[in-house]
Amino acid sequence: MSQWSPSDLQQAALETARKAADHIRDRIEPQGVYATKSTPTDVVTRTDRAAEEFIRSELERLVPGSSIVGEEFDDVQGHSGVGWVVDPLDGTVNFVYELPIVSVSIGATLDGEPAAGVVVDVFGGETFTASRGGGAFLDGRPIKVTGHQDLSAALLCTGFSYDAAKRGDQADRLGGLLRRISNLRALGSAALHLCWVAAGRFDGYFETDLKRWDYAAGSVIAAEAGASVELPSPGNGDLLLVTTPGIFDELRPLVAPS
Amino acid sequence: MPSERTSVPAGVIGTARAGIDHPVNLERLAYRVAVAAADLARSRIGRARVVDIKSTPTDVVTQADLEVETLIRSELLEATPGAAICGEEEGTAEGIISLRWIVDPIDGTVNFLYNLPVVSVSIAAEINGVVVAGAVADVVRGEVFSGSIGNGVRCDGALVVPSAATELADSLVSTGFSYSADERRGEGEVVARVLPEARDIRNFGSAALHLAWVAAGRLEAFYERGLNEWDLAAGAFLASEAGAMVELGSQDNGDLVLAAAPGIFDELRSLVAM
Repeated sequence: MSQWSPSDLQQAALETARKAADHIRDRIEPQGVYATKSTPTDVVTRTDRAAEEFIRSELERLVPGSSIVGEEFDDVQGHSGVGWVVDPLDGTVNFVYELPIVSVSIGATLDGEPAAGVVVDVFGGETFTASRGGGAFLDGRPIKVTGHQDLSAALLCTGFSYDAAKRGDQADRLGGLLRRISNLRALGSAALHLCWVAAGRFDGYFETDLKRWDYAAGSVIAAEAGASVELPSPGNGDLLLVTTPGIFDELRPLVAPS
Repeated sequence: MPSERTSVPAGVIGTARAGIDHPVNLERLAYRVAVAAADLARSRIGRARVVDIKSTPTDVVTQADLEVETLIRSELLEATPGAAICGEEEGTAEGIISLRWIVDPIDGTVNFLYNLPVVSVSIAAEINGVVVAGAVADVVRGEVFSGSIGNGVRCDGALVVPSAATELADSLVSTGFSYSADERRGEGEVVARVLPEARDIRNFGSAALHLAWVAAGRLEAFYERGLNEWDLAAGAFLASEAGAMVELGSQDNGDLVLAAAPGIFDELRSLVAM
């Protein structure tokens, strides 16, 4: 058993994510492209790496011996039973373009199970938090999903893969999907999409081909706000589907990869 | 609405000129009123309430739309008596001078209704049928994009220009989808053609902000069908004045609005025009 509780981890993540968001805001001018990852369209900025270095050192200081998985650096294996899953700057392409829709995302696990999550909207100034069994909050106030039942009235959000072949598959289904729902947004930050489902601002979110750090925090926040959550796995075609419960079953076949 | 930014910062847009209908003066006025309107809209976020339903159940009007439009109308008419005003919520008032204001008090009403923090205020000034100045204010983040003809476009006073991209593969393309389910199906087919060719697709849900962000090089392009005059008057002017290529909707082009960095306009147009 770990000495840490989910709410301890939420507190450590909150302190760290807020400071990291302040650092990012101070470096509002993107620092330029200096590395590319899987494909040329996946751009990383220096700010991204600086923010993750800061978050890693801060989490290690607050919770010594943690394991850490992050977007920018190699995994660290700890011994405390606490694990962190970090996206220092979710919405990197937005940030490179100076589009002010980016977030800091920190998820916590306890003995391998999701335990807490914190997402800070860097330029919108909102903070979303949750710990397992403790509910979900926006700036300290409880939030919940919309509770809507009617898919045809649903406002959904999504994101598209960096991989051109997967994109073709996503594109093929868009026409049919758009006819069945009210509208669709794509804002470019998975973590904010998840938090905005949690806060009842979207009825649902779906995306394939995400990385664990994109959804580790946001999926805990959405689940604690009452969302139905299906996490990506090899068996489900790598689909993340998070919705208000009343539309989940009807939406799923429309967005599940073929 | 008191605001530390309701007067135009010195040097931000240029000094006031003679004549209330000088484009620089109209930009200064549009900027000032957009900031005041954005302050009011910001104070109403989280308290949206549907008061009327327009074309379909998803085309909504909120009390805040009406309040913000009332504020904008009174401020504009006080500064430019006799001007005509075309607003989303209250229709057109006839004017007695050649100046017409085209106003969208809250662009992104669905976002506003859902408390999605991506909404804007859009104000354009038209003289003798030509837009000569405009301002778009980002309600949540507080940025204001403004411009006047021959005078360029500014974000909070700093000059902005569109992207220099020359490849669609390097381009972030924004779009929006219709309120009508039938039209959305066709729109899905168009976006399915664009998606494999572009860097990525965004839909933030505010046409005015999409256009302002094209002006500022934050998006390479924006296209959408079936927009209204108030959705695009200020933003399309800003995009054009900043140096983007802009095609406005007409019967000939299927009511398509397309604004893009010059280097990718033709390539994108071939995919989105039907």
